[in-house]
Amino acid sequence: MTHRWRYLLERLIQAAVCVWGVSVIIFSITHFIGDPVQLLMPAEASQADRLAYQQSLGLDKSAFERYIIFFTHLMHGDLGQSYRFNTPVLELIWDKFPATIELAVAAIIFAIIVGVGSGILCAIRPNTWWDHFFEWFSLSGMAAPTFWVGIMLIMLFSVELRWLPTSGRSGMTSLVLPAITLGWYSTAVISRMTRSTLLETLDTDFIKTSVLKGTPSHIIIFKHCMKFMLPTLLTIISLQFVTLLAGAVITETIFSWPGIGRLLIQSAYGGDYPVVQGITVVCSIIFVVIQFSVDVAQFFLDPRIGQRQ
Amino acid sequence: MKTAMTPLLSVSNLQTHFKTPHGIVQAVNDVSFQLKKGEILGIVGESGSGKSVLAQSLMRVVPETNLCKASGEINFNGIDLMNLTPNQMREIRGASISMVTQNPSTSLNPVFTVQEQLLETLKFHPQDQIKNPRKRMLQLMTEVQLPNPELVAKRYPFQLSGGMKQRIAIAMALMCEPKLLIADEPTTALDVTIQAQLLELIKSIRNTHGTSIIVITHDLGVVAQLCDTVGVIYAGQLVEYNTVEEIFQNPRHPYTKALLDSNPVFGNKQSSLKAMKGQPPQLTKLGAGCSFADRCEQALPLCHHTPTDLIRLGEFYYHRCSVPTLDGVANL
Amino acid sequence: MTLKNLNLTQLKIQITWFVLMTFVTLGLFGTWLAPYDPTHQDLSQSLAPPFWHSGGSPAHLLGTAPLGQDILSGIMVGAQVSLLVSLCAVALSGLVGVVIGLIAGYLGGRVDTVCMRLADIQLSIPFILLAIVMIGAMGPKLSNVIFVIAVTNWVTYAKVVRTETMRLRERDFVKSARVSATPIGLILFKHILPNVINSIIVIATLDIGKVIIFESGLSFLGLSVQPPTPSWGAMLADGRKYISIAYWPSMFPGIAIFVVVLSVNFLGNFLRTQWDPQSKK
Repeated sequence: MTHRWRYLLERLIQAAVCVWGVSVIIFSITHFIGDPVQLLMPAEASQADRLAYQQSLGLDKSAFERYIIFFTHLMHGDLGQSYRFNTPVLELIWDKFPATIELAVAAIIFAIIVGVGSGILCAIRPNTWWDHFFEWFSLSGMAAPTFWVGIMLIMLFSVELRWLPTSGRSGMTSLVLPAITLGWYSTAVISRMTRSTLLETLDTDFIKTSVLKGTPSHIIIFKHCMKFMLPTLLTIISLQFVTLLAGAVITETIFSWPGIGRLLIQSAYGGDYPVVQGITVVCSIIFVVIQFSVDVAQFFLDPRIGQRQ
Repeated sequence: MKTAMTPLLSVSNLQTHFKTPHGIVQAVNDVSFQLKKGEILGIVGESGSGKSVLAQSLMRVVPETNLCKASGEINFNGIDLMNLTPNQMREIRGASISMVTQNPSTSLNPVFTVQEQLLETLKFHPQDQIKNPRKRMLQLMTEVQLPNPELVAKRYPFQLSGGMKQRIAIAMALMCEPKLLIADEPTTALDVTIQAQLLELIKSIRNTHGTSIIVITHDLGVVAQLCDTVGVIYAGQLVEYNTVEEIFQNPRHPYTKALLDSNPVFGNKQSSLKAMKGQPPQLTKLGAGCSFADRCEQALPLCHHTPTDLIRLGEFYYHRCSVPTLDGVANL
Repeated sequence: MTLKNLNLTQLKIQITWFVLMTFVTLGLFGTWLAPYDPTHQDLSQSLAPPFWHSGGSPAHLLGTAPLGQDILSGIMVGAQVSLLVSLCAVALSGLVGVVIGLIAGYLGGRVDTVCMRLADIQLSIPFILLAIVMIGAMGPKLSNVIFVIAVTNWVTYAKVVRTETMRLRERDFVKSARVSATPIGLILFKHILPNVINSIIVIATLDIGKVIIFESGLSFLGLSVQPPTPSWGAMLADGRKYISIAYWPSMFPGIAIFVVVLSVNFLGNFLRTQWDPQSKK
């Protein structure tokens, strides 16, 4: 069985390559597409400061050496200094991160419950009124831009009905609208994919065997089908989670939610490029880690993965 | 081996029809037969003849889409299965009647171990007389000739060969000591050498447990080896139903005769295979007359539009034909 | 039951067709068809409601924006940006992706591994972050937006084309072309490409919707075309501050995006079911 673990090792190496690749891309954008000094220094910086910074970045050296400097700083957690707040970028990110995580987790929970739930419902009653309703619902969900959904929800629930606050992070009620807005698109995708995967699974020979064995329906769906579908669903959900974290940018802007997304936009407007760069690097690395974690989870869930067949 | 006179299973006038854009498919069209305790019945027919739908109808797992008629009587141990609620029928499946299908490579759930799947059956249908499920599982696994049952039990299906998977399927079907086992083409997907072993196994199951078995197959060799009685199915109907000796030595229906003739016999010097002329009929285009008439060598003009007579041969057996024969009495 | 289904599908097809035709027409000729210049500000008409409310007038059918701009005109002219960006970006990213996919799928081995790693890396960086970084470095311009989308969106095309190419590579007609020393480019172009073109078109169609949403998201954030050029996303952003008193500046541009993307998605799904016999509903 030991050769199966080689699969995990391969995946780990791939993840490391991704992290390295991300650093190269971000580095290239900052140093080659833009003017790094201009981007990374505040507008008021003096000429002397700029020169000093140039040296510290190693701009007088070759591209390769510059990259090494960049990468070394990255590995030490030095993502530069925000000049709006005059604090290290990493500290800022660390400070705002929990808010975004809270929002993303709430959104994905919403998306899983409603998405998987409606997907199952549609699959066990295909082509009925319910099925058609949710089909329309999902298609609409995928076509509606997040920012529009958010604004519409605010208009309905905050302005008209006054049930929920319009913005800010202040307890559970303030989490509801942002979570639904953020999770809307993912709910639609998860719903459709759950439905189609479940329909396919119900059609397999082994589920027919389950029926022939006299298995109660709830066990067929929630044990036999679900365990088989889990790897697929996990992939879909993790991909959506990744999309969510990115969509948080817009949602946090609309609801003034004090997370990384809002920090990113404010920094982009305020010309605080180090923060923008830093957030991108950190988020990308997080994604790679999440992807790898999902790979590991799949490995343990599905006994066939990693087998040399 | 007829141990008791009251039949365990008595099927009368079973019909399963589907509605398709091309017309109504009479997949099972007025099928009747009986099965005693410990009897092995073979249902022989070509593909498309309706054998699998017949098996599904007996288990009442016919797909509901397009189903437009499901009638008749399936009397099992005194209860008419057609009258049962879905829940009651579910309790019978896997416990009193179980089934083995023809695709061993895909019929087991790939993400559960063998023992999980075997023990489940008893979990859903606890039997008073089986006190130790695990012991029973290992016993059955040994009986179906699985090597090293303890080890195999912990494996996943994809780690096993086709023959082993089919044995597991059989063991799974036997977990609750069913009275009736339906085997739908149990050996079709397997090597010839494994086939022979599995057929012997099926026979020994009947001998050891007294289980009645219905074997569905297209292979006359299987029938000859295993069965006590045979039903020949063509276009959804049993065109001949008799003991295995009678079927092979004295076939009545032209289709049965043609089937037997088309099987090459080792040692017989034949210049060419005797094939049946024509094609099986399209099940949407069946007329009122005999469905075999177009291919029948002794067909009369009336055969094409007159419904066939049911000619009784003994207490239960019969064949369908409009052409008068020497023995048997037409059912008026 | 079947008759009703047929009518519904026909209705959907006709509505989709109508919407898409309108979108393209506006995208091309919006500037001339719009009743007003959408950038024209008239503070006396600030936040006039749509004509069916009291206070509204047929002069401004869908009402006006905070600075008095006509919303209907804004929507009509804003279609230009959406159409332009989506078509160009999809075409470019499709081109890049298909080429990479063909090469990776055909040559296999190291080349393939490199391409796939590149794809993984690309997918690790969320689009919006990359877009913000790049536009932050390059400045917010229409051409930059197209460039950013083109450079980040190629992966789906590459993956699909690669899988298909690998599958087709082993088919006899390709093998015989290789044996007869046909140059690789010709093999890819003449033998393999025609077989993948259907999948590419389906993906591209669905991508158009995705890109319209991307672009409008960027312009909502102020990172796409700058005012005074009208764009749907920017209109939504403008109207956002006033949602407690006026719903129309934000709602109607959003409806425009929604309706167009829905129709494009419907077209894409329709094409997929037509061309892929395996996709069940």
